[in-house]
Amino acid sequence: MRAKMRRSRKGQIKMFESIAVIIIFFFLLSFGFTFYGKIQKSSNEAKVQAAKELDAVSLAIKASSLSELQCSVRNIAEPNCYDQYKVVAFRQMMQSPSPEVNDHYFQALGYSTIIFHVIYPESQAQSFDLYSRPLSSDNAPRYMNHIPMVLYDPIGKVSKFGYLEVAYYLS
Amino acid sequence: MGINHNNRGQMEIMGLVVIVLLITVAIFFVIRFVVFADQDDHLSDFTRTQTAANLISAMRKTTTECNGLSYEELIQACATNPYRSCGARTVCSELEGISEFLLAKTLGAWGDQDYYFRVFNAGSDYVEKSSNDRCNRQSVGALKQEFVPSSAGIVTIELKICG
Repeated sequence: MRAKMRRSRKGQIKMFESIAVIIIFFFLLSFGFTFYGKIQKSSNEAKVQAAKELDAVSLAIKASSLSELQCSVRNIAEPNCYDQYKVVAFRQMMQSPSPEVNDHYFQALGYSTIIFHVIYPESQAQSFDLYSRPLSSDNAPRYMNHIPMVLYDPIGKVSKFGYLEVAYYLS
Repeated sequence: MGINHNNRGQMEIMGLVVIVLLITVAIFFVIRFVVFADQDDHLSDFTRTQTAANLISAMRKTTTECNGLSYEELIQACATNPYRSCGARTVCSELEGISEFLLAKTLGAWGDQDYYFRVFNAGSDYVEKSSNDRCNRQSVGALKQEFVPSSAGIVTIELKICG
């Protein structure tokens, strides 16, 4: 009788041992899954961030090489150069754009603002908007890119130094 | 009977060893792929290199207030005849002043972009500017060089934007 009771208690202990092992196993498994999920989440967030930054850089490159503004000599476009007279004409067009023009530039530039800052010569320092379509308010998250450029006056043959400020709004 | 107990003990120790090995391998993977993960920063490297290239390109085209010379012509004038006058200053001091101004108003004003700028040829340095001591000739960064031919030899314009 006593031997039977001892054997039964031994069996109970073994059962508890097995249950404990299974609990620990599932605990480790769930810990592993949680950890993996967190890593995966942060890696996905980093990928999304990188994609947005890439979009912002592409937009800046696109803005700096708009053929309707770029300087050209015998039909060959010059990099890092805007023609002053083309800029004047472009700004006039953008003051009251037709729906087609609006659509065309929105497709190309999206929610962004493009400002040209002239900084040299100092006496002619000025800033002017080329394209302005912010997302909603000035507080909206955005990526800023700066591209050094010159504003060329083909009649006076003078190049003023400045830079393009391209703000890309996250939609 | 004793041998049976001994065998069971050995098996349990083997089990523990396997668990410890698995945990060690897991920790190794975590350290390798999370703590020492490769920082893919190709985009900002590209952006820095492009900024350096665009800045040098735009600077070269700029018309200066020194007798209407372009920045590139100012470099050539400085390399050929350093004592040539430009108003109250020499062409070389004008070159230095304009370089400092343009760098301060661009890379200096945009923030968090340390730079090292140098205009030189084999014999001498015409301009050497740095935003601070951290970014110098030996520092690692996005380097862009352009060359200006002059009668005093090839002049190199070098701009490094440190990371």
